[in-house]
Amino acid sequence: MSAMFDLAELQGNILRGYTKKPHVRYLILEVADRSAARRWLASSVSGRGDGVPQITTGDWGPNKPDTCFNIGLTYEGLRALGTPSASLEMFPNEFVEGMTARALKLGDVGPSAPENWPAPFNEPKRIHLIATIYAEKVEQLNEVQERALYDREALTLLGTREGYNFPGDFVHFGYRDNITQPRFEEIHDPDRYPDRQPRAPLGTVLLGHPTNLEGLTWRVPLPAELGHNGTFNAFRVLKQDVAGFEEYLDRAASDLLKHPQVDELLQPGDEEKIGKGLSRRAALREIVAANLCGRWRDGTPLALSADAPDPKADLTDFDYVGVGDSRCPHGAHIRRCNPRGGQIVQRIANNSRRLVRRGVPYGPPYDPAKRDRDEPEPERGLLGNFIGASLGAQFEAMSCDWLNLGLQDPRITGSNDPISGANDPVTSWFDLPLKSGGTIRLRGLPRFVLTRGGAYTFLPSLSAIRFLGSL
Amino acid sequence: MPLKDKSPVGRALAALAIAQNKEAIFAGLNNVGTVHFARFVIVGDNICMFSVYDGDFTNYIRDFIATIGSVFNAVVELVEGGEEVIPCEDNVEAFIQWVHERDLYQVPDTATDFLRDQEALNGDRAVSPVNDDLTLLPRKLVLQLRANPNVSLGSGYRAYPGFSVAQVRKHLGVGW
Repeated sequence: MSAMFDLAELQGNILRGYTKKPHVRYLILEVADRSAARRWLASSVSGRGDGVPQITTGDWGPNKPDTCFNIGLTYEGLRALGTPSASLEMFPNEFVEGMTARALKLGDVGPSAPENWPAPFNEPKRIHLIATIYAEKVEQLNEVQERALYDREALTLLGTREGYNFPGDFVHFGYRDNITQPRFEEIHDPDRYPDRQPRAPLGTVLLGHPTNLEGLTWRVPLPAELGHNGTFNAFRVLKQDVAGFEEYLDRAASDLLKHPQVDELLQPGDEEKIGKGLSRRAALREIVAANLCGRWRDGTPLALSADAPDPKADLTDFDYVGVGDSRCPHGAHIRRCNPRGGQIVQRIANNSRRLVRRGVPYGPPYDPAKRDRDEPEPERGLLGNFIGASLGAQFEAMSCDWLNLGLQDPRITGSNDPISGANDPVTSWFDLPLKSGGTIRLRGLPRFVLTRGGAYTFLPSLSAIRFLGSL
Repeated sequence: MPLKDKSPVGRALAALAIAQNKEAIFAGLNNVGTVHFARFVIVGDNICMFSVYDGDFTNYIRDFIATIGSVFNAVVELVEGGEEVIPCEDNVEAFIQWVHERDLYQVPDTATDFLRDQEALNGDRAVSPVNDDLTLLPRKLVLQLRANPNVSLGSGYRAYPGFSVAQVRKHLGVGW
């Protein structure tokens, strides 16, 4: 990876996925003492390897680090560090207000509402800094955590969250994830895959660079060393009801078996194409699962292969124009999050709300054979990071207008995202497209994902960390 | 929004700014895609924009800036305090906030919801016996109307359930 600017200025987790480090731990921290916390920040970029863990930058040089360490600061954190008020005033409203104040826009209502979040997210104003450790082994997480918390005067640990990447990049609902990220102008990455989407301007992910909306720039908090090359992150703890999801697939498949148009969805005899040895009901389950997501569970995009998973299909080189438009449901999860070049109501918004996504599952994998219906399922879900230069123009715009309201396409307006949306079985619906041009409407989708915590953080550049450390 | 020039000349300049940009405004609103109706009106020495739109306010204004920010600049330049947030393309966040602060306050359909609005505005400080005291409601409304003489009374009447612009256009077969 190389770029026309200094990658050593950026925190590494912005442009890198750290895919070889499957263990991830989040330390949710409060500034205990302003001066000590500033010293802690200064130490984290000092280049000394013995004390506070060193911030991993985007430039690894010849040696890959054994562990990676990155930080994000909330608005309350910047205040607690004594950031000058003139600088604080330049941060965008959504960041200043914090994630809990934006609950309505994000669909964090009912059981997902912030008042139901467990500690430490029940006291959002105490959350000042979220440090993330990435490692190959749990012992390494422990070792880095110990070094990070060695100076008790600097930071108080409010809580932790820990995740582990499952083999093959699969996540709890059984889909392959971590498939695609924006490719950026000015960044050369020889390992990257083909992608039909245009390269994203650097301002999609870094403050101080051109954005995707022509002529628009996001405000860079001053002094420049504080704001330039920084970005924002929506950190989310998303609980997933895997048992509920699988039960819904059972129910939908049973309903479809009785539907007069089911043969349009699956020709009798084609079950083997969906999966080896699958019954008709089991094959229909997988068809529903694929349509809800927009990808088969192996990652094959429906836009390229709507009839069956195709191991030869490219996972990223597709669009929702031409044939791809009708093959993928307009309401499918990945299409709602990123409609690519497809027709949308907000004509100027194509490709403008893209995000860098870094997610890791938490909790044990779901095993239906071990399920005890008399016992509550252990909590499991996703620790997600949604990174972009404007939380309002990217993460919130995507969440509010597209995921929740479905405003981008009149055929889905009034429905919620089938996988991550705040669905109510009484009113929810989802249309499965048929080759004839018609649809079969599924109803009764419950809520599969609950928000259990989160925070908006600013991911400062290395210069910004030095600036804050020297206040 | 109060015009800087409170004279017939000032009102004429505002009228010209809209007339000269009419085509751009209409094209821009088409591209924003979520606006049902919009019009500029001069009331006394104020220029007002009325619009009915789908979805989130900030997304609407941001997309409008991205489409035809120059029109906003031409209008806002004539408004008191407008020079602080133009060109809007370089002050997106501040511009949206500025417009939001000049938005018409809507008195809730249920009068007691007004107290909830005050809580939302005052954050942590609002959760107190004083703020939840119903006997203070009339006084609070008086104070609100003193600070904001122009308000919208309730959410208004509508003859049919909400449909998005695109749903209506699709149904009418005029493309979306």
